[in-house]
Amino acid sequence: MRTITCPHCKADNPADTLVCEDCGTSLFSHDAINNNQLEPDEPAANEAEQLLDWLKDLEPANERSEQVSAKAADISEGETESDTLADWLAELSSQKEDWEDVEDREAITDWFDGTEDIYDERDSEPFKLDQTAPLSEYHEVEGIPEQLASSDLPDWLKQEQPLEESFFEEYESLPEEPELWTDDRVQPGEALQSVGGEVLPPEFSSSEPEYKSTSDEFPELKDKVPSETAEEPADWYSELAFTDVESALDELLDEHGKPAGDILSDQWMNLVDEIPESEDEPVAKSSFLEETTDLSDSEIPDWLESLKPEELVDPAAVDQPAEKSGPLIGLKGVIPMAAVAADPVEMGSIPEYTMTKGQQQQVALLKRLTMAEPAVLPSESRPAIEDNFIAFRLVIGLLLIVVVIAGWFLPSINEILPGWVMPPAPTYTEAAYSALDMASGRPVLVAFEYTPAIAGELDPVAISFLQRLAANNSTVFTISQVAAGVPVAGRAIEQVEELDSQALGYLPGDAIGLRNFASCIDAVDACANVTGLSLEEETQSLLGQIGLVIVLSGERDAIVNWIEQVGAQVEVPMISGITQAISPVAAPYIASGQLDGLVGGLPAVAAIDNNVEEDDNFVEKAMNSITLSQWMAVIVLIIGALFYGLAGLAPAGAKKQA
Amino acid sequence: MRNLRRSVPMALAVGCGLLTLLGLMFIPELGDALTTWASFLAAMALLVGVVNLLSVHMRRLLKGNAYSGLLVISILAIFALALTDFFELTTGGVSTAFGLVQAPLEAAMASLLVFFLLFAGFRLFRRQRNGWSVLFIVTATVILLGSTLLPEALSGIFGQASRFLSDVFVGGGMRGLLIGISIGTIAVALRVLTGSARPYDK
Repeated sequence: MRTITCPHCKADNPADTLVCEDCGTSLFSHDAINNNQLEPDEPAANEAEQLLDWLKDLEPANERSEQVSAKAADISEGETESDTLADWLAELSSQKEDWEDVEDREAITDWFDGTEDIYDERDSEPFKLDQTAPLSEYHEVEGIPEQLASSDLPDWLKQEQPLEESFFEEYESLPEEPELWTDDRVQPGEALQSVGGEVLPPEFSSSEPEYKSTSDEFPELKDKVPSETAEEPADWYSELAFTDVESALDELLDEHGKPAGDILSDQWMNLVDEIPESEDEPVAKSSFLEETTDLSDSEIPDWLESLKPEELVDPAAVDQPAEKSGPLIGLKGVIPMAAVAADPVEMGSIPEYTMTKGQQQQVALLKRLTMAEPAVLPSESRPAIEDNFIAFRLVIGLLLIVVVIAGWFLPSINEILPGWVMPPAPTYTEAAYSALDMASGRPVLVAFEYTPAIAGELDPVAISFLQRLAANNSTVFTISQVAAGVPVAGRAIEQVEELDSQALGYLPGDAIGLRNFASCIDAVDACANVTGLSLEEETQSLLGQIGLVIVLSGERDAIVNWIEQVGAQVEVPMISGITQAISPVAAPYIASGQLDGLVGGLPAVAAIDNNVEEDDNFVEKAMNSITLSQWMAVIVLIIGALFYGLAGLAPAGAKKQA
Repeated sequence: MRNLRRSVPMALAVGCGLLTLLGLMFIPELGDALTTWASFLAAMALLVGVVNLLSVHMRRLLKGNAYSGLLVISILAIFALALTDFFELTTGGVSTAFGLVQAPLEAAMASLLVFFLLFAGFRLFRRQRNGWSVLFIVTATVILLGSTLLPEALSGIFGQASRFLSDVFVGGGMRGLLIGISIGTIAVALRVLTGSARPYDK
């Protein structure tokens, strides 16, 4: 077993210890290493085998263990290490011969020289010890007395070897695969040497024994280093930078019981012993230590004294009674509450918050944005005019009732106002009645697509059409896609005398039902049933000979469905009687020719039929009421515009005058 | 299972849509058959709707809702009148009930619309005193006077002005609206045919 003798107390210590177990002195001193007692009967081959052991740790176990074992066996058989190294050096020499054959050798050597320069600048410079600079500037040498900076350095510190030399010495000493060490990064040997070059003794930075002692004396570091080393440097190897090695060493030394600074200072103290004393400044190790240990008592400033707790200033405060309430209940020596803080604060009256008109408008805007239906907001510059809402509503309602009833009972307006006439009917209205006449004698299909709600406007149109059809001896088929349209059709049929009609009933299915029904109109093969009703043969025949389709509707969808689903399939003229409100919807179909005529409400009927001149006629009475109602509506609109318009302008004018 | 609930209706809808489209273009008989089924389903849906409405209000009637009782009585009464008309026990029973009840009620509701529109027009300047309100008043006046009895000189002027407004402005706007509706219908049809829109999956 290897032991190391302590240079201080001469005690034997295991080889893997860093400091003496008895006195704590570092075992890295030069003397300690020199006095290292190896077993006397250890053969030279054992030393070579140990050399391979630490190299074995740097190689992948699965790849090189066998090689290392084989080389160890060779060495044990009598081969020297130089013989083993000669093989791979011979390979290098052969490669060197090949290298000389390269034509671009000069260029490559230039490049390599450049890398050497970079290498020198980057890696060799930190290792150079600048003797002109004070040694205390090196941060790695903590605890070095300042006197050491001006003293003579030992021999090992004077050896300023370029990094290339030490590097290639290590390079050549490697048994195999030197490319592992040709990596431009710092190798473990370099790192240790850097530490040894500046901090550690020269034995620690020398070649072979240092590596062996490193692995042996630092088991923790050995644990950190993986047993296998790959062709490429491993991660653990990258972590062994200069600072990492230093930190690792500090960590390990700390774990050994003494701070790294103390150990290093002990080493330096040993070095100081070797340095001859200077006449000018003797080595003052005691003064340095005294400066760090002999500290005089400092004075506590007054402001800090004032912060001292009361019980420390006045021990009698401990005897004070304990708090009986509040969050500090049970505590003694509680400092009483300051008078200012104890006095209740008289709060003044909170000023009432008033909203400006702009804020009110913003609130109203937010409300409007969150509402489903936007509402009209009053303008700040033009506030709403106050009026008697209920009175106006009652007046307008009563006026409407009066004019409608008066128009129904009054004589014809043409008699009262002889020179007054209706506006001329549009051309498409005249075309509608022309289509009725062209279908004379042929069956006509009339679709009642309106409800009693608008029967007052469309019933006169329907009755006008039916009367014209009755006069032309046309058979009328009625149908409806509105459930209420069937009885509406029945009522309209009843008001026309001598009309041959047949009700087809309710047609469900909207557009699909209409498209299906269109196949029965003007078809060669008549439909046996329509809308679920079985048709007689005569009806089937008449249905196949439809000469005109009339659509009476008060809704846009109905008229569009009839035009697009039926009118597009059959070559039958189609006219429509609609309300005035949806006349603009149907007008485009007139322009495109899909509708052959259009009658828009009762005024169009009155303009065509001139029934307003006949007495006791529904159209005349209705037109009287409509005429009076429209006049009244125009008057009411104008009065309202003038009333509210002028009332709204008045405040603005008054403001301008002010 | 969840995929089946989504994929099967979508496959049916897309398949029926494509078949109908192809039938309408190339095989009219196929398209007619599918539309006949659709019409039958629509009629059945109406019948189911009436039965469902009756059952719902029957339950509410049992809970003491008087209005539901009125609705149930009306349905049953009209249905009874239809039966008596069918068996010729009565003549025009349904038509009489319709003329006495539904027609006046719907006409009264529509008449209220005229009153509300006129009152709103009267008070338009109360809050909105701007150019658009003036335009509304002027347009309404021209349209109303263009379709009523007027002196012969004014009748032609207002008639032409009313027709100009209707044909140019209103007609132009309505054409644009119809074109937009048509494009939207085509887009919806394509979305349904490609399965992007599933209105039946709600």
